[in-house]
Amino acid sequence: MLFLTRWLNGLIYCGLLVCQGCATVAPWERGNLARKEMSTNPHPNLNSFRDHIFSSKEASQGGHSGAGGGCGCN
Amino acid sequence: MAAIKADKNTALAALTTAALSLPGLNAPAAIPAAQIEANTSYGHYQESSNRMRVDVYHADAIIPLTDRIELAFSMDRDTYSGATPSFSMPASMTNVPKYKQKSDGTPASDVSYVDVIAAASGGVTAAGLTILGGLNGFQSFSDGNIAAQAEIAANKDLALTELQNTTDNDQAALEAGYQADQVLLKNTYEAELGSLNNAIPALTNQYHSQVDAVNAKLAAVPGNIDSARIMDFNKGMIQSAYAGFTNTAPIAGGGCAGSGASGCYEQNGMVIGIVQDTSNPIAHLHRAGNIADRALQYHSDSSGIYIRSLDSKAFSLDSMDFKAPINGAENPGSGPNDYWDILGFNTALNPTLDLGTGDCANYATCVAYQKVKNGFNGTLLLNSSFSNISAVWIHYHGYPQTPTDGAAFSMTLDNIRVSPVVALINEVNAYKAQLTTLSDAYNAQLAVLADPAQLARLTNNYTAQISALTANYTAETAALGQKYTDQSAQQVAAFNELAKQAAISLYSEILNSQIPTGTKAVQVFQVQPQETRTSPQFSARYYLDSTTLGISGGLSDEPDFLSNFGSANVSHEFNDKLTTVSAGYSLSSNTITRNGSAHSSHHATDPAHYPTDYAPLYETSSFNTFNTGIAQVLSKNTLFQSTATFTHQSGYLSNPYKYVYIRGEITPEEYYNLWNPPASGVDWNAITSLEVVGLDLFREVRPEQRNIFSLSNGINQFIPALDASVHFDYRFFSDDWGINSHAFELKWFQSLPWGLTVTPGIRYYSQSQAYFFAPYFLAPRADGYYSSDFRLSGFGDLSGGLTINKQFARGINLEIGAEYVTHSGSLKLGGGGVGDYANFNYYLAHANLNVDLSAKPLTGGKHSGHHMHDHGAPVPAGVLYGQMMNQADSIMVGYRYMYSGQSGSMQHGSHVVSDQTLVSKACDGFPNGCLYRPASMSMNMHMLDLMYAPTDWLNIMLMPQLVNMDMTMSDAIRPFADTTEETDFGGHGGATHHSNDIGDTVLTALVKVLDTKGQHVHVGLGISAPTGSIDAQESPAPLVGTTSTQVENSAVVLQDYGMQLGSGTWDFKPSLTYTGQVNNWSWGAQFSGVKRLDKNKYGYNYGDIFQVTGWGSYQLCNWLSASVRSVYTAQGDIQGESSKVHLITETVDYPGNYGGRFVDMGFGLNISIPEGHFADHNLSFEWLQPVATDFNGYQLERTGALAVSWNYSF
Repeated sequence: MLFLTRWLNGLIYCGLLVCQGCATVAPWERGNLARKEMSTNPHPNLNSFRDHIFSSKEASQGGHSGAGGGCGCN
Repeated sequence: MAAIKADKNTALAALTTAALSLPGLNAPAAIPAAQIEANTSYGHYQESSNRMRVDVYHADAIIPLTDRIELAFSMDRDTYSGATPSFSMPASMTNVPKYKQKSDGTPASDVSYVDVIAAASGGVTAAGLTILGGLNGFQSFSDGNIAAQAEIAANKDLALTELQNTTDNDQAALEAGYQADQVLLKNTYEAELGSLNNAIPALTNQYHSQVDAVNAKLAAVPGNIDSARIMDFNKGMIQSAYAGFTNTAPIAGGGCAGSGASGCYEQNGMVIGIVQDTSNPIAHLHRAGNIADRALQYHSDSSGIYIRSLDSKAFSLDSMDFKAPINGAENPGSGPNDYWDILGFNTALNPTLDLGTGDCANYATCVAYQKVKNGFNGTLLLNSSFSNISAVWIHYHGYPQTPTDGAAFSMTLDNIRVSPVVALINEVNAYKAQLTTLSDAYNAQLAVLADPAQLARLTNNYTAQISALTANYTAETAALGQKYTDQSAQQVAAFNELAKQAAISLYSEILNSQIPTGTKAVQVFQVQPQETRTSPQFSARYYLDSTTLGISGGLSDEPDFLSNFGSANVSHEFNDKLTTVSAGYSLSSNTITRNGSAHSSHHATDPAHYPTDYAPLYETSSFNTFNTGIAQVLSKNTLFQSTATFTHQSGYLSNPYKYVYIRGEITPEEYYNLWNPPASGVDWNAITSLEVVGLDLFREVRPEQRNIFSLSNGINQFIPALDASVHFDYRFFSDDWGINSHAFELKWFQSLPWGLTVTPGIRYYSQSQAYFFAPYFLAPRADGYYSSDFRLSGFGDLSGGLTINKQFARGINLEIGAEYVTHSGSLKLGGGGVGDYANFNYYLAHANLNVDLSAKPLTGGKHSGHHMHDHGAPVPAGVLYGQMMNQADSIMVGYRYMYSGQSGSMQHGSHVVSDQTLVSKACDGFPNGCLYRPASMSMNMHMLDLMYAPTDWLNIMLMPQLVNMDMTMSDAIRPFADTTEETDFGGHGGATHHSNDIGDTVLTALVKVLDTKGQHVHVGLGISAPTGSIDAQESPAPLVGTTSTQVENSAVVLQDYGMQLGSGTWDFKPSLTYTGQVNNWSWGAQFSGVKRLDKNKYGYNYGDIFQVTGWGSYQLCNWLSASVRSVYTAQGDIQGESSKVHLITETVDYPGNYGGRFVDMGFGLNISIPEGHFADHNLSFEWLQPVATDFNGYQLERTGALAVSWNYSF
């Protein structure tokens, strides 16, 4: 039940933010947004390496990529 | 999209397209790549204090198949090694005094300081946890137990003696009454006989004195065993050694003092031990043979074998299996004085034999003697002097005591046959005949003197009275005996219980050492052998107008963990592409096994030690993950995104290498029962459901279900004034193991001139601990879940890092970065983290090379086919440095894979040789010749080809490479010379050795010499840098101490020369290449060589190489050509010898068994795509088949080599 509550809270939170962010940005105003460093994952390989290490040294995992894999650690 | 483009001018269309390519989540680009994009990256992870290190190699490529379908492949390879925490325990349980153990489990005098928890090993036994160095070895136990047991035994003796005395007094009174009554009856009877005839009393007196005289002689005949017996040692030979003395005073019951390995071996009423050796307190006999057929062994560490009967009766020694074959170092003697003395004695006990000369003539009681030549190997029949003896002593001639002069001998005894002494039987029978004669004569004389009827009446009456009296006496004696037996049994039981409780309380004392609240924990490390994880992955995306569908799949394979995974996701853009929502599902299915320990001791498998019998680990788990996310453009400079993820994990979620210390899971009483296990064996599962790995040490157990929720949020803000953007991310994580975590990350992307982007970042992470985590457990948990894995503790991580990104011309992007992380219990949010024992630091370093082929120069706006980068006709894949780019500023990237294999028979020169030849000739320097040979070898090389042409006559080429080698060893090709050799070098048979990591890196300059129409010559001048390691180890070296991470360097053993990843030397690599082409035909030739410039750090260098090759190829169609090539290679053997400790048992361990002269034929195909998506890509394959071989020394047959090369130039 705890999880369900958290899920719902999370969704409501997201929904609120989406509504706030409904300002219109014209396509030709999106130059800055199209820059590589403004993407959600500008350094995909670096981040997957870091995630791989962090998830083998911390209990938390996930949130970045979908599929799993081995740990390569003991 | 085509519709949009048509409506607007080109610039706006480009801008719009770029703008609309805003990434979503899990489907990051809404527009497929236009050309191939590839990445190769390297990551390094290193923990402080010489702990774990990981190297990660990664390569990926995105390949657009059509405008809407995009494929991506990636490959990851990690190698990891080093020391990792295995468990933690209270600090007060370290450095506890412990005796060194003698082989029989009794303490020697030296004390060492160790952890209470014995190091976990591959095999745990009841004996190991108690008698063989576990609990019984601790000084407090040894001292306390010896004292307590002695006191209890003394009290027991006292009580039993008192009981015995009382019983003896009662018995004496009973006996006296019985005797008196007998005399009364006899007197009455004799008076009655005298009244019949007054001559009868004298006659009777005379008769009785004669009978008494014969009975006295009968009683003087020595005792004799009552039946024939065999001692075959097969049952009950529990101990591996026996150190008891059989020639000195026995204990009650006839055995020898001492029990277990300190005692003697008994079978069928006979007892075997050693002659007390006053010069050697630890002299002992050995158990030989296997569990199905045991035998007794005597060699040069005792004073010989001494056999007698338990009740010291005489016997006849008839025969025995006496095996003393001449055998190398163990039993070499074959001279005139090399024989065995067998002495027979007429007394069962003969103390101080070892102080004599060992010869029969030297001992007054020696009555039998036989000499057995060393080398005798069969059934020995004893001479007739052994037909009447009371003890036997067998020893090597000249050694009545343990040799101190280095003499070596060995003999095993089995099936010792003894029988009753015939002469003694005859003697007894003669006396019995005399008694019959006397009795007959007496009865005949009586019949003359009196009326037989009256005589019979009186005699019958008398006999009946005596019988009644005797019956009464017997009954009373029996009752008294029974009473004594019962009482003494009670006493013994009471004292045994006392002894048991004393031992248990001593066990408790050690196990429950005082641990004040908050006692610090100490981590114990284990060295992890170098292992490799390989993970290929595949994904595909299908782009609809505003929806993207993606699937991916892959696997991750490491020696103890196999994971297969797949995912599907969808993202959808709407709200004029300002909003992207996504959802996905993924599944991982895992198989978990455990690497066994390499060489577990024989103790671990000996049933006599009651080993644990857990099945090898084979478990599975599965992870189901659902995620949903949204990315929202908030303004022209702001992007927000959020992802919620739910994961359900089920199955085996424990870490199979982590242990936990749990006090009380096995109680002291259970340990006591393990010390004295019942004959039926130990039922480990009845003691604990956990897997026992050491004293109070168990494998961790985690719940089999885990539900995880996490929410990741990020906001990206562009700051136009600074030309920078800032990212802030926060992730909340919660699971039903009680772990909540928060991760905050802040990154600043600063654009600088020259295409540079610098990104400093900080990250803070904090987690609470799992509910079943503790550094150590002082009581069992009701739910049975335990973990001391630091990853489940409460802690925080604080890290800072910097990434630098440089965009080069032509779509090449290089990124390097490093990050330093501090892991500490005190960094946990809100405090209450785990103690500082688990703190450590680590750093990450990373480099990534990205090549985006869509960013080609726009010369002519169109591909001009492969003529633009014409570098002559393609050369076969196996030819290195064979091609030049002839246009300044050209760049080529490529990947080359080379495989070579060896298996089959061993060859010397070009001839096949037998294993016998190898043993005698191929391992010059190993005392008894080669023990193993290679059974198969394979080498895989992955090379990155990077080539740049600064001018049209000079190309610079850089070739880093990754090398992976395997070698499987044969079983032993000869018997082991002795047990020492077997102990030192056994256990390698059939083993496979691996090595893999970065190899040497070659930098080459190619200089054009001649370039006319159809003819081309260039010179290559290369240098190979020793970036490859020459330290590939046989197996992980042990740690200096269990709580330290310092590796014991003296224990490092290197693999053979052929398994090293680099040469260790700077090498000069010149080459000269000629190529020609007319129409569809092309040809070429190359001379190349490798010259080692020095010896490497271990004092050797590989042989120089000279190679010449020639080829011809024919263009079958405009994209395909085929080639035929021949190659001659000559390589010298290894110069010098490794100064480092390395393996020495195999042909490959010797420098002379390297190099040779070889001829190969190559058959190749080359695919060059002239135009379209894949224009300027070149893919070629070549198989090299050995044709002729002339090896230096002794080497394994070659089976062929494969080369695959892909390159792309632009």
